[in-house]
Amino acid sequence: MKKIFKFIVERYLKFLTKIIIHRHNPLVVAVAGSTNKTFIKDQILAELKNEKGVRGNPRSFNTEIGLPLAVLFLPSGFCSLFKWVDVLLAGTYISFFQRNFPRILILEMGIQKKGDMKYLLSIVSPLLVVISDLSRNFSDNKSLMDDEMAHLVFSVPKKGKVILNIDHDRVKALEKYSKAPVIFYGKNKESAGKIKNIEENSDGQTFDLELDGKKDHIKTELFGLHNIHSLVAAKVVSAEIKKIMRSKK
Amino acid sequence: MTELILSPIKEMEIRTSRVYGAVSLAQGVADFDTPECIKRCAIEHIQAGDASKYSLSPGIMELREAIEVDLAKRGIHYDFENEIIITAGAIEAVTATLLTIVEDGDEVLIPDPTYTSYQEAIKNAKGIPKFIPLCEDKKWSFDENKLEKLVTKKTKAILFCNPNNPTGTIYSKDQLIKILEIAEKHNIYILVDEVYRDFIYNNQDFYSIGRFYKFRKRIIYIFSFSKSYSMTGWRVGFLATDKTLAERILARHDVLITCAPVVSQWGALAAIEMASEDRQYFKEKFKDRRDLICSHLDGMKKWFSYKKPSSSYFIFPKFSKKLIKVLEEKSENKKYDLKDYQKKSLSWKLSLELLYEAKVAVVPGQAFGEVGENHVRMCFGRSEDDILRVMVRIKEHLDKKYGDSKDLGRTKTI
Repeated sequence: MKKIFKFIVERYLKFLTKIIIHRHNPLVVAVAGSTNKTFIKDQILAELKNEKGVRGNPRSFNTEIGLPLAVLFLPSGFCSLFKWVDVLLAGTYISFFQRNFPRILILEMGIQKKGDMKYLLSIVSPLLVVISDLSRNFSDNKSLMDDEMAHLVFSVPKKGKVILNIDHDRVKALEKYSKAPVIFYGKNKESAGKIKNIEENSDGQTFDLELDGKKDHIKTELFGLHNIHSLVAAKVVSAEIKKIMRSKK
Repeated sequence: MTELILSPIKEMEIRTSRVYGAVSLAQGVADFDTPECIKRCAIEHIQAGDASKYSLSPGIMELREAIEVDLAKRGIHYDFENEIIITAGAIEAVTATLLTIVEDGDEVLIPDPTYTSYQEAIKNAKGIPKFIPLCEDKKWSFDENKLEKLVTKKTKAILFCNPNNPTGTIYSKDQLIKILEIAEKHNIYILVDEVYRDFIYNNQDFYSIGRFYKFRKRIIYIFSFSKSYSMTGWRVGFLATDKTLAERILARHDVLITCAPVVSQWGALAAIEMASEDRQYFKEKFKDRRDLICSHLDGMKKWFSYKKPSSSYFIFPKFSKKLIKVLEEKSENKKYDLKDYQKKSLSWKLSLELLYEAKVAVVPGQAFGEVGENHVRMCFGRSEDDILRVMVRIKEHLDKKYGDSKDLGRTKTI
């Protein structure tokens, strides 16, 4: 019974989401990978705080039910049938009648099993994709995450951009699936977003970023290379978004 | 080989399990079940086959990342890739750390009173526990002068939980600064177990030691999901420390358990992501239960005095002079199969007498250190019914056995 109900909710939310996307045609940015998605999304939103009409997933809604909820900007009904009825009614109104909708959606896309990415891509079509990390939890040889991310990268149209962490071998390897131009970021010299001079002390970390001919010295209270990668990923993505929005004007 | 003794808390629970009709406020266990969202998430991961294999030794990435984010919200910054290790509860974090940093004969300072298993964890690492007496009259605070006098060339670490178990008191920011200054001066590690950080009552100030980032190389921050999310049986917690030390601890952790139970790690992730309302509910209930147990203790002033705990779910009543006198004069302990170290202790005498005669279990204060003697620890995480039954039985027992004749008419067996 629960499974049937979940299936109905899932499919109806998908239907509503496709309608609202069709009506408003926002620029969709997908943030994917095994970790750091929420942080990168939040940083992109922070970078774009002066842009109008930008929205990201509330909390970390990023799965087959979470993603439509994120697009429709609705809460989860969790385990309550009544709450779900409310959610679906609100979603129906938003989808068919709401006039205001963001121009840019920054969406985390999470996967748990084979086929999840294909399903998410049947709901939204990202123009920009950023992947920062693809580490595995288990030391087996299955590459579910790689396969699913390859689907995502392949889905980006030629006019879009794929933004990848060059310092991560498995992320870098996704380049071959892309029809769209690939922008790398990382410590490697080939990167478009180049990270240099990382220093760590008890206050956090500092580093230099070279991007689009500009050099910035950045300080963060966070520790770990992954946080530097995430900060840079957000800067690269937001720079690309600004370029796209300027070209639309 | 160093002989260890079973934690008196566990000993009391084992004894209690054999006493018909006994009600326990001994072990620190809440009567709540694990929140539904955690159980559901764990089941989904079992069914998806995600819980059947080892995880990476430091733990699943999603959980470590969620911990990094959760700690950052509390002003504590660690890198989940290199500085956070998921452990089998807080005690495994303590054990793995001590095994890493302590060498044969090194000394580790612990407060007196404090959680019973710390002493044995230190001995297990071939270290020597040394006790820093807390001042009951000053809300069980540290005396930093006494602390510094205890430091020798062999002192390797200070280990304590904040809020403290069994007293339920919080070490202030100023006290933490003084401890850190001493640690810095003498090059000592600080292990802090913040397992009760989510149960702070009446908006008391709580300052986490993890926020003193300048000292991060010597701080080992420890937490367990057991109490905050009613997950004592899941055995999952974590430690966070600077990456150079974390790397060394990880090697010990790998030898001890390979990785924390993977299904529990998924449960812990659900706890962080979905169970904050449940955690808040537990806290409100514990506050009510604290007030309930205090109101009963107020009716037993002849036997106990107490400091009202501002956190955790423990209260640590002190024996009155009258109770000490009557226990010294009248209590028998031959029939309770006491070990040598227990025979001289009035708190052991009373705890076992209460267990076998009144059928209630509490933990003898001596188990937490010598300063804890003449106290008992009671856990008010248990249900209101259990608290009520225990407190009425204790009052009835003491009034009947040691009280004046006028006390007898006022008690009622439950």
